[in-house]
Amino acid sequence: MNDLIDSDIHVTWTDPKVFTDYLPKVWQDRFFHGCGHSQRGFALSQPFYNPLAVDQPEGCSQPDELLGFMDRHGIEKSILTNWRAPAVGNFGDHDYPARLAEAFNRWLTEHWLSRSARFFGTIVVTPRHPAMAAAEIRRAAAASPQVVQVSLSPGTLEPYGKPQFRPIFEAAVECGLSICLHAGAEGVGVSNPPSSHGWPRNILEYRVCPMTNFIAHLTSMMTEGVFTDFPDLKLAGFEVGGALPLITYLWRFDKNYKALRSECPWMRELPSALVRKHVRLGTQSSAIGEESLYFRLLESFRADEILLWTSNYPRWDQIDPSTDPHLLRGAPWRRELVARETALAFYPRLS
Amino acid sequence: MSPQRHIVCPVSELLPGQRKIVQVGRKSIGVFNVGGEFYALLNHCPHQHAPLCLGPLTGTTEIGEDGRISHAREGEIIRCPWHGWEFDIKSGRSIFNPHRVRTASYAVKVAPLCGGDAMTPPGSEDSDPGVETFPVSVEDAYVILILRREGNQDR
Amino acid sequence: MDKLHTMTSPVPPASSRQFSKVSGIFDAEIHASVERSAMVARMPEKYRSRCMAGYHAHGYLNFDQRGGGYRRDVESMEAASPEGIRRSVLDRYSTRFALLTGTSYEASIYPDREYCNAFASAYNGALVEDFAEKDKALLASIQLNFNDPPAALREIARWADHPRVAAIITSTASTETPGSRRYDPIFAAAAEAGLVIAYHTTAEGRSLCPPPTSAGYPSRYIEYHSALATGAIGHASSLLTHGVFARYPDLRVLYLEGGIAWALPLMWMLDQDWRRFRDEVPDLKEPPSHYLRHHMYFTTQPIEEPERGDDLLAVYEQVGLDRNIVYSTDFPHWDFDDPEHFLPSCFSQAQRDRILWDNAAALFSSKVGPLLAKEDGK
Repeated sequence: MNDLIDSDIHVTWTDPKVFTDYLPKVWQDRFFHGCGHSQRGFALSQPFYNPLAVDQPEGCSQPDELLGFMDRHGIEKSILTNWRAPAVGNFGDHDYPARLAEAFNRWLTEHWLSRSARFFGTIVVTPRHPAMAAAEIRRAAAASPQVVQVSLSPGTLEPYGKPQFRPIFEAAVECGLSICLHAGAEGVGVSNPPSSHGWPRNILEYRVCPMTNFIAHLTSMMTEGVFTDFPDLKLAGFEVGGALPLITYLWRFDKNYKALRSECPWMRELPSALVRKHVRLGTQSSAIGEESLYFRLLESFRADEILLWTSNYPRWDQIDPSTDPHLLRGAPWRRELVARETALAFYPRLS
Repeated sequence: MSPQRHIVCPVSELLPGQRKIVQVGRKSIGVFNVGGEFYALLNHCPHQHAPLCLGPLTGTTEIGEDGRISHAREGEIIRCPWHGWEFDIKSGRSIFNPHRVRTASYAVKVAPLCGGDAMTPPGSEDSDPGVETFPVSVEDAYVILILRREGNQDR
Repeated sequence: MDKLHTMTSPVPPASSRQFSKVSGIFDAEIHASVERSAMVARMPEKYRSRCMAGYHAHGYLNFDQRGGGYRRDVESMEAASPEGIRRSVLDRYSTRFALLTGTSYEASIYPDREYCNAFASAYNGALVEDFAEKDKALLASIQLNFNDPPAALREIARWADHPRVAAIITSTASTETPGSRRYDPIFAAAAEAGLVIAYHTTAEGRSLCPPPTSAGYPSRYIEYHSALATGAIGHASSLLTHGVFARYPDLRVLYLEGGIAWALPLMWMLDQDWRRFRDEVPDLKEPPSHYLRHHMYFTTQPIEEPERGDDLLAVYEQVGLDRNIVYSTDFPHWDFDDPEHFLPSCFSQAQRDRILWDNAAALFSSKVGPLLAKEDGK
């Protein structure tokens, strides 16, 4: 019986020539041949070599293969993305990356979403150009009812609470889509460095950055009143370390809110209350150092209400649902929330 | 237990915008004149027990008609001198979570002192207050603190 | 999920409670207010007028709406003299020793390198001579310009043997990753001298530093101050993953005002990645959590406040309740923690004693020990 929902699966193409159908002629040279220094396709160079990713797939490239994986593991529905695609937000240009985003979204819709009612999609946009991003959200959401989410690059020059990004949230909410940040493009291309100390020098240091980056964007969105302006807005974080880092951060942020509330009167609730209403996190990147302590802290927070089960299939650090503690834990942990119910409530188009 | 009445001061000594801190037994209590009305709060922040009533007497912020931040409720808010928690002086309720977080508040009234009333001036429980009569007039009215708990649970 | 590696070797608790007979607490952070007028006498003539004019406050982000950062029930000027500190803090809270952190620890991040050096040096003189030497309880932290290691080393040499200089201080804000090899001479000298390096969470995004978060600049203080925790997290991850403690096993660092609870998920996250990528960080012979528990210390203020106090206790126990966690007031700042009321009630008296005295006394034992012995006439 397929009762799992997998909220983060990666898909890719075997031959970039598929994008010929989706890219205007004027941009095809740039996409296929690059603008020097190997800048072809969706790639923006990553700062660190990941020896574990080298022989591993970027994503699943065959819909049947993905359906087979889903059937083997009892996954009824999955939300598809591509971990490189959000970096279109970090390209230096505006029209080109907007066209690339549209090309990816159309490819995803036509090559994947139309192939099975069990596939749902996360589209990408160019957040530095909010009007273009809003237009693309509306186009892609209308093109397929299986589009459920918009992925914004975490690598930015300004945090997402700032006023210029509002048209993106307006379009997403209007179309019933959630917003997500997926680790990968921190510090890449047109972006601040990935940490507040400039550049990490090794991959361990770099891999801490998605978690702190997500917290920074979330803090901005909350204190700037984004969730007050858009009470139906949903925000997900994938590969940002799961629930525990956010829970320990809220022990500080909630405290600060009680003292400093008058600085942001448009923020009407405690940060932890806003998290329960608006924020969800993928499970896959959670580091469970000591299982009983981990779940004790999560259960204090009722974190089963804010977690979305994710496998990250077929990437190098994918999780096997048959051994994932998030799916094996007994009461008071509510496995059914993490496994599917939270996702169904969070993504209205999923049902 | 019947309410205890404690003299704070003559009305002329607690003008609008002013406050007095009085010791009543083990309780330290702040008495405030907000726009001519009197209110009293336990001088004790429920957070880390700071002397709440010593903090800034101020307003708070809200969103104006034009959607921009504006100052509001000047003189109605006491902020804890440590972590700045805002409390509505009139109710003792916190601004950030009025339903769950508050400090104790007490009733205050203005009355003349009449013969036969046995009242305890704050800080002088051991002395014989005696009985005094005063002419009944507004100029001779006193601020009287009534120690009966308002609202619910003890802190 | 792979089972994570826990510690390879046990971490010794704070050394055998050697000062357990002392009554009173240790306050690991009081901001003594060093006046500029006290500094200029200690500076070359060339820098005096600019110092008095208030230069060296570059890059403030102007986002703070609160109307000041101090407690409103004491005169902040109390922090401007050792007598005021004794009156308002030391006597008030039965403080046996306190580490002074002062009002400035940002010499590492401002553009004028020579002025930074002169500023730090003059400031250190004022803090030690006008404050620390004037009260038996006071210890000082000396400010260094990390961006000029030779100048920093001269300053360390100047103060290392002073009986009341217990720590070096700088901000967590840094112009490059804090574990960078270019800071190795300072780590070496600090370790050799037995001086703790205190990193004060502040100044991210100012002057020569990158923006305060990877997302960009904040709009207001609540956003900035909350997200400063990410600065402490990144800072710690840098020191740990660059192998600073593997190279300098005698080095200890103290995080001021950065929070503590994040250290638990950070240890778990780094340990998981160390198992995967250990070839990429060959300096590390042990998992990162080992180095955190053996070398990193944390002040409690501003204390994190989970709904359940016993969750805080559980996290403290993992990070190092019997060794790594030390109490501080942060007087005279607004987010002060009262020593009697700051911990949840589930902490036992023994646990409170660890945090309020034993751990800090052990951390600074090389200075505390001789001072106590001198008082006892030994």
